[in-house]
Amino acid sequence: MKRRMSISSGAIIVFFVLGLLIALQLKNINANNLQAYYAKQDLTELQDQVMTLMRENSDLSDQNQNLSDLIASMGDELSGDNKSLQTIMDEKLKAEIFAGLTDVSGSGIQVVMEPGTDVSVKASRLLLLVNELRSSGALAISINDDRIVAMTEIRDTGTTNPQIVINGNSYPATSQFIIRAIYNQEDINRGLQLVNNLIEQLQTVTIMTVSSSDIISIPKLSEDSLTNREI
Amino acid sequence: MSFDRAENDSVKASGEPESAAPAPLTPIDSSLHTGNTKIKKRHVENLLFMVLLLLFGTFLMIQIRDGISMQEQLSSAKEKHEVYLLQLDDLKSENDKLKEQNTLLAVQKDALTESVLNEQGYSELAESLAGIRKLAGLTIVDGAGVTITLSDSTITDTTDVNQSSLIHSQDIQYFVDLLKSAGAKAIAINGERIVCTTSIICTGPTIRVNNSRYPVPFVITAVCDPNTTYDILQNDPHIIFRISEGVEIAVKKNDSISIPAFSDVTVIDSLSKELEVVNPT
Repeated sequence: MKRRMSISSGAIIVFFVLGLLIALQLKNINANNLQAYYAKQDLTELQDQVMTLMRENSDLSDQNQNLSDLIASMGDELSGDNKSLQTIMDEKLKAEIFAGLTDVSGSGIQVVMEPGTDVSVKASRLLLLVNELRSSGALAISINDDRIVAMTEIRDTGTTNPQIVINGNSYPATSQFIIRAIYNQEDINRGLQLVNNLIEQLQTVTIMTVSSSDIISIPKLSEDSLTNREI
Repeated sequence: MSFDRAENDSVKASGEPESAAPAPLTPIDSSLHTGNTKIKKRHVENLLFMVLLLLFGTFLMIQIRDGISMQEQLSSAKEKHEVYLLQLDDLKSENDKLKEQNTLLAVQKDALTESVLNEQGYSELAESLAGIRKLAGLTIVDGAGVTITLSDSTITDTTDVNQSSLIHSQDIQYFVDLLKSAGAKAIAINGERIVCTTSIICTGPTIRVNNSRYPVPFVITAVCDPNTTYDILQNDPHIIFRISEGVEIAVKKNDSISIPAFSDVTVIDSLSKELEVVNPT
């Protein structure tokens, strides 16, 4: 009887410990998986940052070298060499393109935004679209032939007669807006996809149609525009 | 459990001869039978105990082995982590130095360009070039303005499924658009100048601006009318709403702010290569 009691209590202890171990094991598996997942995530993130910075530093080194060379050649220019005037003109053209001061054309997409049945077009929707176009790699953007540049403002104005102001020019918010964007051939699909997602999101408040074209023309920023004059 | 059942069985077995009246056994037979059953039971008990101990041992071994392997994995991950952090620190300081050098060289180049043009009698061209570069965001802009600092909420809310207490790229984009509407002349995010190609994108816990990634806090600086802009920002309903959701937004007026020039030549060059210019001047 005594022996049986001791066996039973021994078995109870063993079962108890075994149960504890199983529970611990299961808990450990989850915890280990989680820890391993987070450690991996963190490491991948760090690895990405290291790679990005390495690339950036290499680009910066190249740029600095080019600038040093250019400065040296300009020094020659000052001492009578006429070679780098052309370099300056090339730089000017690049700056003009970057500032949006040249007419440009290329393949791209066109979006027509129209007010819904009882709502006008809002600046916030145009901004949403412009930002999506930019993040999908648009090289140049215009709204109603008004070139979107670095400091272009797009804002609502007026309550009884709502208008949308772009580069200081007003457009009735109840009219249709034509947005054009030029892309690299390989980025067009990404742009179309993002715009289509946006169309789906905004379908209850705005009517939007999108199409792609091989020839999209975007004019330069008008010399009379407020954005151009204020800088 | 099996032991309890064995005990019950044994009670039942031991009780059986008493209750089983129709088949009486002789005392010698009964004691022999009980003895055999007891030995058998003991064997079963021992066997079960052995199996249990074996299981116990196996689990213990797995547990210890897992523990050791996890420890090894974690310490190796920690080591790698430290190496990457050191490398990242070095790269960041190198990056800062290169950027500083780049800014100095760019300023030197612009000054020299102006000298060359003036020297050769192209002063009008020099002026026009300076204006174009300013519009493109390729020059440093100094002046009065505002500084906006955006940080995630310090309170962790586990029920916040939309992560509305965190700063997202949309928040930064909202501020940039608002500053442009308020007439800002130049804007930068953590020192990254906003230009025509700038996109602000969420990449995990960081935000990418002009191909560089930045963690919180995000500091937006703008050269603008500080008083008007401050009032616009303080009274904007969306900003008030975001503050009520827990994000930290601090707006400060500044008498003097310097917005750096955009200096990524690769981006400028690639844009001029990729865009087809119609009727160049």
